Amino acid sequence: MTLLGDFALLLALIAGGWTVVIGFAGARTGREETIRSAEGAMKAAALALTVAAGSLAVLLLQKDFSVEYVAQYTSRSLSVFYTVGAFWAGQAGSLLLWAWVLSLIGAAVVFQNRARNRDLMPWVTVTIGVVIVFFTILVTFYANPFDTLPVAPADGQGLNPLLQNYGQWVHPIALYLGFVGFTVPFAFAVAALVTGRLGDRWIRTVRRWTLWAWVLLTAGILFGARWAYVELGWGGYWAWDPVENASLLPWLVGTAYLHSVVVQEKRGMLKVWNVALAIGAFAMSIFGTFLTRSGIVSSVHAFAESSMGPLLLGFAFLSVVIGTALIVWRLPLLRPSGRVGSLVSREAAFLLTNLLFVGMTIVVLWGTIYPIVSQAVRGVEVSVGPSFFQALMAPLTIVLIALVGACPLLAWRRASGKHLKRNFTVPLSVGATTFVVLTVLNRGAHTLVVLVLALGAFVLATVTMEMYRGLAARHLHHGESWPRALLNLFAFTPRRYGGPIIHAGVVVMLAGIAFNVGLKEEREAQLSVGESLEVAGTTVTFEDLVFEQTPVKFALIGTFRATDADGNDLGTIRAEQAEFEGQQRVTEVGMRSTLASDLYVVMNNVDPTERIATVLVFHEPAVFWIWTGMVIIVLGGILAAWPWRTDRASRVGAEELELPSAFEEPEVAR
Amino acid sequence: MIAVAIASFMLLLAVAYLIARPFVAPLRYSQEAPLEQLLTDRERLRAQLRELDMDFETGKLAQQEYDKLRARRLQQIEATTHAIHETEPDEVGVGQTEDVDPEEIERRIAARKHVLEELEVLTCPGCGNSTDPDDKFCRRCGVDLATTAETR
Repeated sequence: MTLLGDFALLLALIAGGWTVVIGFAGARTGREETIRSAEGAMKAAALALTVAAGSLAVLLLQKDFSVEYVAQYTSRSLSVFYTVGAFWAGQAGSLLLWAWVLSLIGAAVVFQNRARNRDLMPWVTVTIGVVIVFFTILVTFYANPFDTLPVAPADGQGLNPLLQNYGQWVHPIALYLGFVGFTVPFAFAVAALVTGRLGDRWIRTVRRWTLWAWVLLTAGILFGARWAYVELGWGGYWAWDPVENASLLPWLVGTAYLHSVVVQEKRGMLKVWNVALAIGAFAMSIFGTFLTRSGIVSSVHAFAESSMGPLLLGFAFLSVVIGTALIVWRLPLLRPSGRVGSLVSREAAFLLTNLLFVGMTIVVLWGTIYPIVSQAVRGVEVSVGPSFFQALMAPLTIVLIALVGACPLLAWRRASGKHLKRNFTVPLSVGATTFVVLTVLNRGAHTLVVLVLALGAFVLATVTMEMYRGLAARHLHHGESWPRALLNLFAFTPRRYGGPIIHAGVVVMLAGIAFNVGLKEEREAQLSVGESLEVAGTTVTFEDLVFEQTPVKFALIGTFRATDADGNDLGTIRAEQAEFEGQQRVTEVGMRSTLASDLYVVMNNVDPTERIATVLVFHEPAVFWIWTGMVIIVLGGILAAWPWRTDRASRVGAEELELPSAFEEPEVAR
Repeated sequence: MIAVAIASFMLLLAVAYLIARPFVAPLRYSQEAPLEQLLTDRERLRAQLRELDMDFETGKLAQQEYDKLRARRLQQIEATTHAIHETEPDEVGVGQTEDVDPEEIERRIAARKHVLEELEVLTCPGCGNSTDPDDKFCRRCGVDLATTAETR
C-alpha cells in the first residue's frame, strides 16, 4: 500500500510538472492540443493524488503501524471516526490533503471552463499547476506520509486527546478548503494580468469559488474558536495566537476582495485593488501555513511543527513578487473606467472598507511577526500580547461597523442631500436612540459596549430597511404578494441579500464579543470539597471528587453546584482532569450555558488524597451570541454562494436571473 | 503485492491516457454558437436592466444617473436584438413577445430620445468625451467646460 501511495505521488508530480511545462508552452504558442494536454495532466494529477489519499486512508484504517505516520497518530483503541480524522492530524497528511483538494479544485476548474474563458485558461492551468507541484514536492520529499519504520511497533502512539473532538472533522477541513480555495481567484487574477484581459469577466468567473472559500474559511475559524473555548480551558475563544492570526490574515484580505470586486463590476473601478487583493489572499494563505507549519512561533498548534518553513515562506514571497511585478507591468491597463465622484458616495465607502481591512491585516501581520523580527534583528525575545491587538483592532472594527451601516445607504456616484436625508433618518435615529437609552440605563458606564450596541442597532436598522425596500419594490412594481416577494428576493438576487444577512451576523457576533470582553469576570481559588467561591453573583460549590478509570484514560471528576444570588439552585457542573494513556494531561471544561452567559469551570492541580483542587471559574457573558452571530454569517455566506440557478438550459430565456450588473460597458464572455 | 502492482499499472495507464489524448484525438468542445452567445448576452443585459431598476427602486441610485444608465442599457439590448435578427432572421424573434410589445417599443423610443438629449448635454465640446453636468474641465482633453457651457 505504501508502494502504491509513493507511486501515485510520483505520478502526481510528473503530471503536475507536465501541466506547468506543457501548459506554459501551450500558453505561449496558443496550440489548442498542447493546452488541452496540460489540462488533461491536471486531471491526471487529481486522479493520482486521489489514489495517494485513498492509500493513506486504507493504511490508517488497517492500523498498519509499520508506517510511521500511522504509528504516530493512531492506536489500536482509537475509534474509526478519529482514525480517519488522524489523516490530517499531522504534517504529512495535512499537506497531502491540501495537495489533493487543490488538484480536485484544479480539475473542476478545468472542466467548468472547457468551453469558456479559453483565453485565460492556459495561464490559470499553469498557475494552479505550479501550486500543485509545490505541495506535491513537499509531500513527496519533505513530509511523506508513506515513510515506513524499520520495525513496526506493537501499538501506535494514539491521537492527541485534544484532537479527539468532533471539531477535528470540521475545523481543519474547512480551513484547508478555505485556504486552498483562494488559489482559484489567484490563478484567474494572474491569468487576467498576463493576458491583459482585465475586465470583470475573471471576477465573475471566480465569484462563486471565492465565496465558497470565504464561507469555509469563516466556518473553519468559527469552529476553531468554539473548539478552543470548550476544550482548552483558558476561558476564551480568541487569544491572538499566531496560528489563529494565520487564519485571520487570508480572511481579512479575502473579505476585502469580496467587497472590492463589487465596485469593479458596478463601476469599473478599483481594478488594481482587486488583482492585488486576490494575490494577497492567496499569499496570506501560504504565509498562514508557514506560520502554522514552521514552528517559528509557539502556539496551541505546536504539534504541527516542521522544517519546511523556509520553503513555504519563500513560496508566499515569490507569489507576492510575481504578482506585484505583473500588476506594475499591467498598470496602464488597470486604469479605472470611472472615478470616485464624491466622498459621500458608495465608491468612496467601498474604498474606505478596503483601507480598513488592509489596516487590520497590517496590524495582525505586524503583531504576529514582530516577535520573530525582533528576535532575528535585535536578538531580543519579545511577545505581543492580546492588548496590542485589542487596542488597535477595536477602533478599526468600530469604524468598520459604522461603515457596514452607512455603505448600503449611500448612492453610487454621489449622494444628494435629499437622498441622504431619506436614507439615513431612520437608521441614524435608531442608533442614536439606542446609544442614549443605554448610556442613561448604565449611568455612563461601559461606554465601549454601549457604542458597539448602538452601532449594531444602526446596522440592523439599515439591514431591515434594505430588506423592506427590496420587498416593497417587488410588491409594488412587480405586483407580487409579500411572501412571494420575499421568496423571489432571495431566489433571484441571493447575493444582494446574502450580504445584509452576513452583516447582521457580524453585528450580533461583535455585540457578543463587546459584552464578553467588557463584562467578563474570573475567579481562581484553591478549594477543598465542600468549599465554594463566588463569581458575578453566582456561588460555585465544590461538591464532590471521584476517580474514573477506563482502558484509555484515568480521570478525576469534580462535581460543582451553582447557585444564584437569591440562593436558587442552577444545577451541577462536571469538570474533569484526565490523563490519557501515554499522552499529556487534559482538562475537560465544565460548563453551564444560558442565552445570557456561560459559567465555565476548570479544575487544575487536583490532589485526590487531600480532595483539594485549584478551581478557576469564569463568568462569560453573551458567548451564545458570538456563536449565533458566526452561524448567521456562515448561513448568509452559503445563501450568497449557493448555486441557485446554474443550469445552462434554464438560464437562457429564464424570466429572472441572478447575474451581476455592470453600470459600465459589460465585457462579453467569448 | 500483485494487487498493488496492478493498481499502479492502471493508474499509470489512466494518467498517460489523460495527458496524451488531446494529441491523439483532439478534444472538441464546441464553443458557443454566435447566436447562442448573443442570446446569452441579451439575457445578461436584461438581467442587468432589472438590477438597475431594483437599485433605483430601493434608493441606491439618483434619478439622473438611473435615466442615463437605463437608456444606455436599453440601447445595448436593442443592438443585441438587432444582431440576433441579422444572424438568424427567420428563426429568432418569433415568440419573443417583448420585442413586439408596442408599449415596450414606445418606452424605448422615449428612452432613446432621452439619451440623445442627454448625450448632447453631457459631451465635451472639445473632444466629444462624455462628461458629468457639474464637471468644470473635461476629463480627457482638459477643455474648460464652465466657459464653453453656454455654447454647448
